[in-house]
Amino acid sequence: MSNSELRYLGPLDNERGSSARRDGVLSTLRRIPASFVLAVLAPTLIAAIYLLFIASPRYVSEARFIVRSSVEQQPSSLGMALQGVGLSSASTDNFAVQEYLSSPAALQELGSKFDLRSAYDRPDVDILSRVPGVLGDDSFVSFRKGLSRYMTVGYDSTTGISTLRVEAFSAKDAQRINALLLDGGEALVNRLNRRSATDAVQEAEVTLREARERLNAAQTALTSFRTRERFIDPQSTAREGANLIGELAVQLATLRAERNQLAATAPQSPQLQALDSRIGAYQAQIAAEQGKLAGAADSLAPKISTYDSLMLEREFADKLVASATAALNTAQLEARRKQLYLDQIVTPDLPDKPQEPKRWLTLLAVLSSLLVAYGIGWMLWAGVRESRAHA
Amino acid sequence: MRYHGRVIGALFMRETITRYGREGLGFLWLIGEPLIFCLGVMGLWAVMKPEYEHGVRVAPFVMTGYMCLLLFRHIVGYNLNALQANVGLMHHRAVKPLHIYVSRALMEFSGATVAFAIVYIILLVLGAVSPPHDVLLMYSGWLILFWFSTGLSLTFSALSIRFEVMERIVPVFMYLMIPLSGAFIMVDWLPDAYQRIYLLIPMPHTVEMVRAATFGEFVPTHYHPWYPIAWSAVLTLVGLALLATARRRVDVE
Repeated sequence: MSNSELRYLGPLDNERGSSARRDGVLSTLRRIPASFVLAVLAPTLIAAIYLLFIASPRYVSEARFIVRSSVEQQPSSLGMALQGVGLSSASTDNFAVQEYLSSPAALQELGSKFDLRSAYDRPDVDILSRVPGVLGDDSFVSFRKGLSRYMTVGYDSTTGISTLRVEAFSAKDAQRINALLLDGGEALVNRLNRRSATDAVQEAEVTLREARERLNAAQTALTSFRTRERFIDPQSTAREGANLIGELAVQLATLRAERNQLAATAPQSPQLQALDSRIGAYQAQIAAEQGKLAGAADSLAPKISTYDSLMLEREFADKLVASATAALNTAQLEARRKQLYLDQIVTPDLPDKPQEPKRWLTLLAVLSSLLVAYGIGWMLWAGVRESRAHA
Repeated sequence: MRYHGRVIGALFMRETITRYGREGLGFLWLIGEPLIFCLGVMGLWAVMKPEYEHGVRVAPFVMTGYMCLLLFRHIVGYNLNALQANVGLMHHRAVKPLHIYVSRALMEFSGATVAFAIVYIILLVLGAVSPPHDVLLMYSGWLILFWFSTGLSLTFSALSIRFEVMERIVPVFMYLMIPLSGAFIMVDWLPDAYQRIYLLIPMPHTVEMVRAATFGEFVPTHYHPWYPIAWSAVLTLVGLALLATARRRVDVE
């Protein structure tokens, strides 16, 4: 091991010492390993040619918007920190819009208003930047996949502001696509609004209708009961009956007193018989009246209980209607209050200069990434070689 | 230049062999060690925490934080006693103390870099992380962290040659750096008032840079690249100055 190392180091020093300066440069160049040329230098050169001479300029149009509801306020950053992800309904709506904007549905809707293919599949655009590009076919799916790299949707959880960024090969296209996408988002918000408003109100309306039907039924049952039994209120009928019985009892008591008096003074009076028959008639009348109130088959007592339950049902239905009406009012109010808005804070701008691709920065990124990859590869290979040599 | 490169390269190879031996994976342990650590910690966190925390996915969050912490800890930790452990090498005229430190730092750097790349690729394949949004930002954050760690390790090592007590202080300091490094927290989660104080520590800036590059623009990050660079430069100079005076002490031994 140490032997071979010594032999390797030796000649290099000699060579360097003896050779001329130009040879030194040449030998340095020659000592660049082929793998380095292949893995780093050549790809960088290709990337440079593409980035600096071929890549078509892209214009970036950016819009910022916020989805907010008129009741809920945006959570503060501390609130966010304390409650974790902090999904208030406002940010859920934000995500809904974001999700929509990056969905195929949004693109299809956009496609119906704007000729996307003519904007992204232009012959004057270089083949690698084109959509669907070299690898894609004519399908909508591959078109959408290719397009996704030119559209960015993001949501900043601290500020609650969303960003929509569209890149296109002309400034007008970028702005127009951005604006149309935002319109689609706004339409979605409106749909959500309509849905949440109508849902709650409809529910309340159905409840109210049911309550009204129930009230009507109770009223009808009560009326038919009254017509059938021919009285308005069994309570008053009962009271009348009781009064009648009371009066009859008073009369009866007077008659009995009269008879007792007559029997004491003139026991043989012929009037006694007449009095007895009158007392008998009164007693029979009282018994009949009592039978009407209770005891007999069609007496008043069971009717009162039926009447009471009918009244109770009507009262209940009445209250139900009242509460359902109140609920409907609240629902309507709530629906009006819980409106969602998509507010454009920054409307899509019309760039006057292409911002993408960032040619030199991208080139630097390519070169450094290749260097890192090469370094990693070299290390792994050295490791494998090392362990194999001593296995 | 080439001479220094050769000395450092030779020390690099020597160090890997003395530390990991020639048996089994040998040299590859340089990558495997941080890799296993990081995967282990990530697995633990994945079990303990929900998938998203503060709107950030846990796996890439732990990966970026832990890899940065690992790089920092390894460089500072392994460099601390590098000179004392390799005092025999000082008999070679060619070998300077700085060579030893630089070779160890480079070794840890390359191991951690490869491990980072491998973990990133694993997460990428699993779909737990998207490709870096800004590669250059990631490289610069990582490189500044490397420089900062090396500068700090130089200062600490030079101090430890003079003061034995440093060997007791540095582990405590390293332990304190776990919460203060920004590895397991994002600056944005802190209340505004504490953010400014927290950002006085240079290391969170670099971690935030790596995170900003990983997560993209929609996860808020806070960093100023020049602040840790200035710290690194100062620490490196201080370390070199201290080493220059310390050299004599080592020679005497």
